[in-house]
Formats: sequence, C-alpha cells, structure tokens
Amino acid sequence: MTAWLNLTKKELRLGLPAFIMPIVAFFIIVAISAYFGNRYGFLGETITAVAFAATAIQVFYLVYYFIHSLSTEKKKMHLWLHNPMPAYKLILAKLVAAITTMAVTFIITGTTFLLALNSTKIIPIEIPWTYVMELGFLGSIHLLLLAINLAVLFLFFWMIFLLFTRTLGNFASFALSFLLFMVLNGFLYGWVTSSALYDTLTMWGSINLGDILSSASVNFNLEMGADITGETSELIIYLGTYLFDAIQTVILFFASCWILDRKVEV
Amino acid sequence: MIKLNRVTKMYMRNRALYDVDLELTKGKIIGIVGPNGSGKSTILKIIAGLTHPSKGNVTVNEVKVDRLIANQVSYLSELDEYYGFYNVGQTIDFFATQFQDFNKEKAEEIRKFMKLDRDSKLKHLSKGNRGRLKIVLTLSREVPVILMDEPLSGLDPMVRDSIVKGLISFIDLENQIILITTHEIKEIEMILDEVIAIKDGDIIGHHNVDDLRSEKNMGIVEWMTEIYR
Repeated sequence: MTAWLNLTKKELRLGLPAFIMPIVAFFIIVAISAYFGNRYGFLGETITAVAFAATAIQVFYLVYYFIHSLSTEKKKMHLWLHNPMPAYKLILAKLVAAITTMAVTFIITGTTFLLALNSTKIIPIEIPWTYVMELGFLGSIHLLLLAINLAVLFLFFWMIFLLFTRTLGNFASFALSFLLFMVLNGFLYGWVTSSALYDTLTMWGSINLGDILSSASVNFNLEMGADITGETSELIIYLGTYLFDAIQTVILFFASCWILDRKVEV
Repeated sequence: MIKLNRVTKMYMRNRALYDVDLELTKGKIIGIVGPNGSGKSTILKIIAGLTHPSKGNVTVNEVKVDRLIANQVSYLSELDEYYGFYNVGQTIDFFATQFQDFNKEKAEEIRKFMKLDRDSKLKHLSKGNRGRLKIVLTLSREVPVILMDEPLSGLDPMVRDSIVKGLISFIDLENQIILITTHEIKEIEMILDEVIAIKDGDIIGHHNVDDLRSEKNMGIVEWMTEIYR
C-alpha cells in the first residue's frame, strides 16, 4: 500500500503541469471575459457562461490528463514498467491522481459558476436554489462517471496504440488505433446500443428522479441582460444502463491492464 | 538461476534473437558483447520481462519471466531518462518506496562514493552524473539478478572508472549475478567472469574469461576479433 501511495504521489507530481495549465487558463479567460462583460454591464452573466463551459468541458478532463501522463511516460517506459506492481495498480495510481486534480479543478470552476450565477439573479423565481443545487449534484456525478468512462476508453486505445508501436512508427500506430476506435466505437458500439437486445439488457430498474429541469432557454439582450426560463419534466433513469456502462468500463480497464502486463514492450 | 530455452525474438521480419539457449548461475559477472543491433539489449529486456519472446521461454530462479519479475531483477536501461522533477535524493527515495529490496543505506554509500549531491536536480545533472545515478539505483537493490545495459556508454574515462570501481565494491557476488552489455570491453574485462558474444541474434561464443586467458592465451578483444572475423 505504501508503495502504491508513493506511486500515486509521483503521478500527482508528474501530472502537475496538466493540473496547473487548465486552472491558469480558466482564470485568464475569466479575467478577459470579465473585462469585456463589465464594459457592457454583464459581468456576472459572462462569468457564469465561462464558468459553466469550463465545468462542463471537464467531462474530457481525465482523458486530457491521461494523454499528458501516458505520453510523458511513453518516453520512459522502462522506468514506469520496471516495477513489481501489477498493471492495474500502476494505472489506478494514474486514475486516482487524475480524479484528485479533476476534483480540485471542478471545485474551482463549479464554485465560480455558482457564485457568478447567484450574483446575476437570472435564475427565475419559480426555480428554487435547492433545486439548482440538486441538479448540479446530479450533473456532477454524471460528469464524473462519464469522464471515467471516456478515460478508460482512451486508456484501452492507448494500449492498442502501444501495441502497434512495437512494429510500426508513431504516426502509423496512431492512425491505425484511431481507425480501430472509429470502427469499434462508432460502428460496433452504435450498432449494439441501437439494438433491441441492448434495450432489453439496460431498460430495467427505473428510478423516477421527479420533476427535473429538462430544458432551459436563455434570452440575452443588451437592454435587459440575461433571462433564463426553464421547463421541467419527469426524469427516469435505468439502473440497467448504469450497470451496462460500468461493466463495459471494468472490462476495458482490465483488458488495458492485461495488454500492459502481457503485451506492451519497452 | 537464469535460463533461456530456445528463445526467439522477432520484430516483424527482423530477427533480434534466434533459438537462444542460455543457462547462467549466480556468483558471476557476465559481459555480453557484440556489434550494434546484435541482440544484446533484447536479451536483457527479455530477462527483465520488459520484452516478450516470440518463441521459447525464460525463467529466473525457476519463475517464468513476465513484467512482475521486477521483484527479482534490477534492470538498468541504456536510456538516459528520469523523472526530471525529482532531485537525486528524491529519486533514490522514490525507488526505495517502489522496491522492497532497496537498501537505502547502501544507496547513500554508493551515492557518496559516486560523489553525487543529494540536492542536485536531475535535469541539471551532467551525462556522467546521470550514469552514476543509474548505478546507484541499480546496485542498491538486493536482488539475485542485476542487468546493466551499456552502463559505460558515452561516458568519459573518469566516470567509467568510477562506475567499474563501484561495480566491484557494491555487488554481492555470493548471491547475485550481473549481466552487462558493453562496447567498452577493455574497461570491464578485468572484472568479468564470463563473456558471451552475440552476432545477428545468435550466441556465437560463451567463455570463462580466465580459461580464455589460460587456454587460448587471449584477452576478450583478441577473442572477439577472431570470432567476428
């Protein structure tokens, strides 16, 4: 456990540039947009929009972090792989480091979003704040789950890429991995998820989350500022879908670990 | 201790090793020599479990080799890559956390012997000092097998000398086997017990160095000149 924790600390240190860059970029963009927003009298609205976009885009945060971490590691594979720990521990250390930095980044952008949103008073009176917070919490959980799902998908294709680099150049390996990704993810996954079997496998265990915001329209003009109106509807989720995605993620994770342990070469 | 049984390694159509049989026992320093691309590094990577044979099998202490053999093998790569954000001391400390067999006192002893400053940033180290650090990290592990891929490559004579002296001083020959690939044969000839010559993935000679001297009246360089002719 101590070895793994120290490995995770190393991963955090390795990922420090990837951690700092988006935060710095966020503050710079917020500062610039605040300057222009302030000139037109929409300071809060502008920051709200920027912070919301910065928060939502974090669905790709773990993929971005993995790209940085794994490509840095590719230059020193002998250092990373000459280790008595099995691959799942090596990768979990990276994943935990990535989720930790994502959590910090998410808190920064999310808090900015909520503070800016609160300052604008553009939430309609009929939408209570507790409701917005519930929605935010639900959204955050789904954002994290989707981010993990995408990161593991990326991890799997990175391992395929490493397999190809045993015999091909970097560019050819990347092109082939990308092609495989398009075929498997675009075609095969699309075909599976649109089948009746998929519906049978996933559409069970329905949970009614009650009335929840299903659409929001934003009216924005220079005289009146921003005005948000929302419509609510019943939201039903299926446990089967979550289980299906979880199983798929676990399979891809362990397949990646198997490839790293047994097939990837230095 | 180390056994390669009919090991072949192919990279596409290129043959890095072909049908190699090798059995090595502990208590020896063994040099692997040969021209560039002959398969020297591939042998070490296969024993370290970092490359996989296309055919045949490899065991270390009767254990089939895979990546997890790292708990019995200390491998020094020919590559000069580190985690640049660490300094010398932090690198040693990190390695100590990753390998249960890492002897920190020994690491400090070797570091002082190699005149390396604990606080020096790795990105600011000279090539020679990076070579010395690799020796510190590799020899501080108390494992049965030590593999060193070109530890003297590109280093000046003073650094090479300190590394060779470090090898003599800090290995435990009663319990360890050391495999070294090198082009700098003259520098390490005096410490080698055996020498293995490779050409195009084939082992073309395997000799006890003392026997070579007494029976054939040859040093390693003369022997190599003869067999590679």
